Amino acid sequence: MTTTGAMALETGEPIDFDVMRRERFQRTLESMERHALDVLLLAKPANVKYVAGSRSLWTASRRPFSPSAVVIRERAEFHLMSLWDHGVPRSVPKERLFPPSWNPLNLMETVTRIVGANRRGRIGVDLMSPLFASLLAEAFPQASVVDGAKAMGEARAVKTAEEVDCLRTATAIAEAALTEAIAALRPGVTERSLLGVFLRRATDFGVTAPAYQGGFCVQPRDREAAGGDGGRATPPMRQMSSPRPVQSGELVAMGGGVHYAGYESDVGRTWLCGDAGRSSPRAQAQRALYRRWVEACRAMAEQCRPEKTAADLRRAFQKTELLPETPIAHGAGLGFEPPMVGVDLGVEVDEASVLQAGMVLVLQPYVWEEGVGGFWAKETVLITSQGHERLTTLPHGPLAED
Amino acid sequence: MSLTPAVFETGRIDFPRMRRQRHQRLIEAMDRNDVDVLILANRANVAYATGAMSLLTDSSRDFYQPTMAIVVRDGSTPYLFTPYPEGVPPDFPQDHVRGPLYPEIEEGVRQMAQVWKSLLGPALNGKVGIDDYTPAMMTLLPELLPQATPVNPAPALSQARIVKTPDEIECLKIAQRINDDAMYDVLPALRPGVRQTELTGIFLQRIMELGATGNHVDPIWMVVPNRLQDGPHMLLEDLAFPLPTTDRILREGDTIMVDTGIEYMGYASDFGRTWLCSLDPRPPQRLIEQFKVWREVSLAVQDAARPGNTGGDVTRAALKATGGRKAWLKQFYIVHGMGLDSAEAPLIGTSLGPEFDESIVLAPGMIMVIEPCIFEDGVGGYRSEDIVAVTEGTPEPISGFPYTPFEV
Repeated sequence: MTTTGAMALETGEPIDFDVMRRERFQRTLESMERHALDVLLLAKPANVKYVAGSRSLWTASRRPFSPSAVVIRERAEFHLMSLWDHGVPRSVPKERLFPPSWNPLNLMETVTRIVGANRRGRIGVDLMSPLFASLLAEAFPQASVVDGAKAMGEARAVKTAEEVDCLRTATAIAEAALTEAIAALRPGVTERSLLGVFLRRATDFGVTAPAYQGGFCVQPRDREAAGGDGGRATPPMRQMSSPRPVQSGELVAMGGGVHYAGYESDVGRTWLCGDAGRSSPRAQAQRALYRRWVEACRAMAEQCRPEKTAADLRRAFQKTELLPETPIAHGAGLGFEPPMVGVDLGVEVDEASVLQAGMVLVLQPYVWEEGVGGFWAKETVLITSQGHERLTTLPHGPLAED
Repeated sequence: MSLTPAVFETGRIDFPRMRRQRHQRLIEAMDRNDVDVLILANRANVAYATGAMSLLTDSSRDFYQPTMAIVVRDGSTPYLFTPYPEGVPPDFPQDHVRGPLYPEIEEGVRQMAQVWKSLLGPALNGKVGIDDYTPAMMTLLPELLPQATPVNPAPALSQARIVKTPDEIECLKIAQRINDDAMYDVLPALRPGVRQTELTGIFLQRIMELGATGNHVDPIWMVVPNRLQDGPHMLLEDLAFPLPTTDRILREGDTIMVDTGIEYMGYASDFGRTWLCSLDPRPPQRLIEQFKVWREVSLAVQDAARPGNTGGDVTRAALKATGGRKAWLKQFYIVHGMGLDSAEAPLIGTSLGPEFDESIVLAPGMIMVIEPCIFEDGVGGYRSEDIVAVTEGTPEPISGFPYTPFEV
């Protein structure tokens, strides 16, 4: 299927959310079994969404740990801390809803009631705070509290067909918003104004909150303008939009993320501001930089097939480029997901991330040339049994013209 | 109609002084609570300790690419670990800035523990308060740092952050001003047929033009049902608020509860008003009566917002104004604080109970976001928010948007 618009509700091929939720929960239970988990106590919004399919209020960054969903493997059921059924799928029985509370003691009492008599097993958690660690130990003295993030990560890594449809829709929306920002790019526009245009256009498609606050940033041309390089070959790329006006001839890295049904699309392009004269030495150097990025991204994409690892992507990039501080690729699904490719933890960590059909990766290499600046763009790919499929469609504008 | 973009008035804020004073408060609180080392991953805590700005993201990115900080009780310069070098304050000592840490990944936790050991040495053998544990940290840190005694860092952090320095209050005023100003563009767009998400779009674009550094919460434009049974199934006998925004089409006669929060240099705003969606937005008598009660409660709480008063004094003042009826939502509070988080201490009137309320003693520099909600089943409801800073004398107003279409 292709991407969905609002009219698909009546006549199109809407995404079957019931099927998606059932398959996700099934994958959760199977993963719990592989990891010998009896209970999952989940606090991270993306994990709660994966298990329960509920939509709760989006808030930025993180909140201190508080259990929001409880999965009981034996009974194959989940329970949700939600005061109301607004945003909760109809298939969730009302008696599975429990009130959240400011009072940690009330919350622990609720968790204890949900878990019931069998309190000896393994309880997986996806986050923890010192206060809840001691409350949990008190309430479940015979249970062991263990890593629940691995099981959730495994379940979420491979996307179902419906999840991929959500990602396609999210990508279409994010590209629409980015297209609008590209149209607004002209000398004198501020970085923050471009961000504002992006955020507003996304709301035309029913998006209420961004996946992250996009970056619309002129990339510095040399080390000095970048404020130093922190001892790296590639100075850090700018990611935080400022009130600075963009000038003609500057390279602007523009990108942002939107959510559709919780699924993130993360798009990015570097665009040239204004018409600085195509034959000038600067313009030629910018196009050469773009071609380096194309080569690096193509080399990484070639590795995007089952059985390859994140380390293969890393090595492909390193054939022609030096690693920047930002990851050169990351997973995507219900928000930002692992793996983070090419970070400072060594190639062994990347070796351990084996690609499988159904994974979705955002390739985001950043290339740099002293005196010219930085070029960064994102391509989202779905790993298929044969190789990969590109989900993003936007071109690269004037820089791509010969 | 709109006022001057507030971002250009930053000459009033001395950021280096703000960071020094916050650090001082943190060190004092560590001393009081006997904490030797704080290791912080929560974005607001890190910003408090170091002044580091970071890209505002949803939680999933924040977990994988956090800013982190270490604060040592001896008062030495904190350490900052950040994926956003551009967000490091210009005067922050560069030799205390490091690249990002990866606490979600086991190898990342091993590397992290190694880095901490090399930076801190024997200080790590004391009482170490970590605000958030990833499962990898929970599993590995006990063996990687066997000498450290884990303690709960929350009391020290809360005690430091609850009282704002004068520069922090200026930041909060600017954040609130940007938020208030943006509403002069949103309110005229509220008419029959507009979608909730369209209001969000106008709002987000406008705050960016006005100098916001981010948006904290999905803006809320909730249609208030007149009867509880017309709202969603609710576990408490009270109004289901706040229901997240959708592309719902607003209709003539809808009562809209608005709640938004943006940030300026990390500091939050909180905007709460009740509006009417109508071609002729004149409030009906039933809502005018509720607004009057709401106003009485807010003023009573402002009267009680004096140093030395307790949270209990605040709830009693609110109850007295309504003749004993609890005029705030069961799931929330009559008052919350605001700072680097949009809802933080002091929380007054929550399910933590009267004893907890009594333990809160108001002091100059505390922020009180006062949010009574007057709802009556079958009638409807009114809710807005007034924000004040506690001073030695009369509380200082932080919020200033009119109550349109209601008149004081």
